[in-house]
Amino acid sequence: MLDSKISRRSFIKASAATTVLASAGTAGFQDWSSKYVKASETTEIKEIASTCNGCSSKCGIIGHVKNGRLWKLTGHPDHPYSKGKLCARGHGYATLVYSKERLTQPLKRVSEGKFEPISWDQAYKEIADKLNKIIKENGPGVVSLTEDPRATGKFYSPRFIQALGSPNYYTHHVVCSNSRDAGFLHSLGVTATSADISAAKYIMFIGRSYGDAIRPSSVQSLADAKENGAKIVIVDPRLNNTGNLANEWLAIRPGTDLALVLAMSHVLIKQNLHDTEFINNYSIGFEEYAKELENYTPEWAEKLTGISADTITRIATDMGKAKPKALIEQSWRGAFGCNYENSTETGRAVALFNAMLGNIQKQGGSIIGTKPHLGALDPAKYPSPKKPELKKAGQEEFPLAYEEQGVATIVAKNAMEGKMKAAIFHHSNPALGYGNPKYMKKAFSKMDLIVTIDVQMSETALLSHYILPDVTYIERDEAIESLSGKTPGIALRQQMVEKVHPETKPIHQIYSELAKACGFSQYFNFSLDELNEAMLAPTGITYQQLRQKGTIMFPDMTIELGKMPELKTPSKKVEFSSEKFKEAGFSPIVKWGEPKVSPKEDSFRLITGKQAIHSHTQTANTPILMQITKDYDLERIWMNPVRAKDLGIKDGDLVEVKSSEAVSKVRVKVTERIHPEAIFVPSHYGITSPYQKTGVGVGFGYMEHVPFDFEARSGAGNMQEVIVKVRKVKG
Amino acid sequence: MDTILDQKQSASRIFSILADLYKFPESDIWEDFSCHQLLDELRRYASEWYESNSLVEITDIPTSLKQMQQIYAESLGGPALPVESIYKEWTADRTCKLPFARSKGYLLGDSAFHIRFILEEFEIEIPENYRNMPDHLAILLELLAFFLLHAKGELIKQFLADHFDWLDEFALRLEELGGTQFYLQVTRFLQQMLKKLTSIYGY
Repeated sequence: MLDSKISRRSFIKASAATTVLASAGTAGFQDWSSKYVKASETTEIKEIASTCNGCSSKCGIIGHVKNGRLWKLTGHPDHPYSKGKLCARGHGYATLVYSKERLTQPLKRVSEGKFEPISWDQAYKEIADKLNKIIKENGPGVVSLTEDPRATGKFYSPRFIQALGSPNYYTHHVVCSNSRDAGFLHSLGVTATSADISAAKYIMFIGRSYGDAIRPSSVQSLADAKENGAKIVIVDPRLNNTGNLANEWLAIRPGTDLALVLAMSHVLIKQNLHDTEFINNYSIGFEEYAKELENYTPEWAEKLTGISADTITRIATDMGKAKPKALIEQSWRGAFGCNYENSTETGRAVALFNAMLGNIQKQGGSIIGTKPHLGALDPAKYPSPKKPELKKAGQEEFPLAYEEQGVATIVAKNAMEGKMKAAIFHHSNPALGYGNPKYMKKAFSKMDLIVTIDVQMSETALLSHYILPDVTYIERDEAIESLSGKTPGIALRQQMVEKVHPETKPIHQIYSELAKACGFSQYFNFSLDELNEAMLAPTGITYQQLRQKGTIMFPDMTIELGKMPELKTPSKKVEFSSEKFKEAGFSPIVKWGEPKVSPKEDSFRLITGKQAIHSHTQTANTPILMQITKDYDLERIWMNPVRAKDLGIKDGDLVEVKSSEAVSKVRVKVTERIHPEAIFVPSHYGITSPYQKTGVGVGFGYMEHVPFDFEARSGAGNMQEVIVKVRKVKG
Repeated sequence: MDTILDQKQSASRIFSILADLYKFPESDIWEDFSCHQLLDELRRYASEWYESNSLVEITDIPTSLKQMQQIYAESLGGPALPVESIYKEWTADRTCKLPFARSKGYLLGDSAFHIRFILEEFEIEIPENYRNMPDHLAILLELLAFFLLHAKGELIKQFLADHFDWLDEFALRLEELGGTQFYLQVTRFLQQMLKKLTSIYGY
């Protein structure tokens, strides 16, 4: 019989009845399975309203759960982004919950790329000891926390870093929309407007593509606009997948979008199509700007952009005539979120062009959204940490960047210079996605402590001293998400299934427990439910109601179109001239500026963008999404046939892509859908973490070619200031 | 071996020891392992029961608990999870609308639910940590060891047929990982023992 030692280790615990049952029972899989499948037709299916995490949009979803397992996902009908639909990523990324390649327990690095499992208690103690030691020796300004925020992170992450006494909270926007945000912020007082697409009559997209993985409702709105006869123009060096809905594609020379917008603004004034009443009532500095715009004729812009002066004049004129139901869509990353040295100025010029059309807060125009009024925790019962007196690192260098988001790559720069000693990364992969990976690796190696909180072994996790395993979005409740827009609302992410890996924890729990180990549990003396109850208090909605519905909109709070709100700029008006820019040492009015680098006859500019089935590199390890990539060779770079012919390159050839930073090999898609000066590489590939078996080795990471850099105004990463040479190689 | 009962006990003991080897190595396992007690015992029972000298050799043996834990973390702890669901179609429920319903590679598939069913039917408890991985090889082997002592031949035959037909793929995964061969050798050994058991139970 089993000896005591083996018995002691035994996992299974049999009851007194087991032996009897086993001696008489049968339990064949086929019998069970056929009964189970048959029975499942009538098994109760629970529907749990929640939000997606397939990208940053966080669309509303409904999880259909059978026998405790996820069974189906559908789009939430009430959520303004999904409107009952769900994109491919929403379906595909949900597989993460049952993935075999998740982080399942806390890990401690023992040598490069090697980790040992440790308990949560050990992890908390060692991290807390190290954080406290680093702060004691260097002050709290050498500690940082960076994330791609979700609702819970938005509340807990800044609170945690502030409790450590540090102001260094950063978001991913440095490689997303820092330039656009800075441009809009100092012109309109908000980092972004939204667009009343379905009611617009003339829509221009600069680099942004609704057809390449944005939101289901955005695509629907654009289809509605088209149906209503709207003119849709795409400005992009690449004919992207919104092309199906567009009337016209302007294959602009990359990096010259600013010249186009300045020339269109010039035309508006020249043809007296700008909205003088709006400008007189709601703006400052227009005369200065108008004077500067005299320099930017369509003929001048033609030489820079490659778009004919006639086309520029025609489009600007038509938009002026269609105003206020005409707009340049505000974009996110698109062409001017973080790409070029002139991107912040492009952001400003776009915001100001819309203002010249007088479309702000007008039907079919640009909308400054409103937020729901949510409550807060009672400070007497739940004290908040004191706001740190220190300035956030990067704020002095980049005072125009939106302070709340900061310039996340300053963490790496300061680490390189010995000024940043510790970094916590949550739901974010800066080692691969924020800056040149070689630079990031070297910078991270100089830090005394890196902690990564994630669901999979990312490149950043591999460089970390400690890795804490998060649960997936399917397995957790979150803080209430505030939805801003024409009509405000709230949404709740909810746990759909019990967590698969018992040693994983949701982020609110990790922060609260780590806070206790650090010695400031008083700032986390509330539960997630208590936080949500406090947030809901002023709305009159009960937590139970929200849990049931998942998304609740507030139609009685819908903004009144035609009524201009007081703006949050220093003048409270649209600022065609910005004192903030002047104080920061830049021109107060927008002026043309060249991109930092330009290709020559034998080279290309490397540009990047999305594909509808992926979100950055987050989904690269999702087998059913990566299979689509493989089936259609989506990892290939795009090259114009004229340039391909000169280089002796044919469709499908293997080529070497060489920049100042790296050399990569990949196959080519030869297509007229790309500007001759540009090479397009999708932004989803180049995974190097060997733990991500599905993603590793597919395509190359464009970031490897991007020199580590900061755009002067917003601190953004200058992602497309990259020159490459391409040659055919054997393979 | 003298009697059928002895044979069953030996076989049960072999699969119990093998079950231990698929668990995360804690100090108590290491205590037995480091003085060769565990592997010696395994070989002794196996050579008696298998009635052959041509046993699969387990030679690539970890030299410290830390190393054993490291090897485990880099193979069974993640890249080659010894969990049946991963190697089988996720669900036979044709009404399931998830895009990966018919795919392999995911946890908590039908086989996990079948094990849950068995555990409930026979009133067997497993650690909370394995609640959503009840088809982990360590659990499957403990169940097999238990059934060998207490269940009818028909149940053992069925259990063998249902839950151990994925080990070739699992071994291949370990082979692909390269590096230390310890867990691959243990798996080859396990396969040898299962083959013998299968021949006894006529499956």
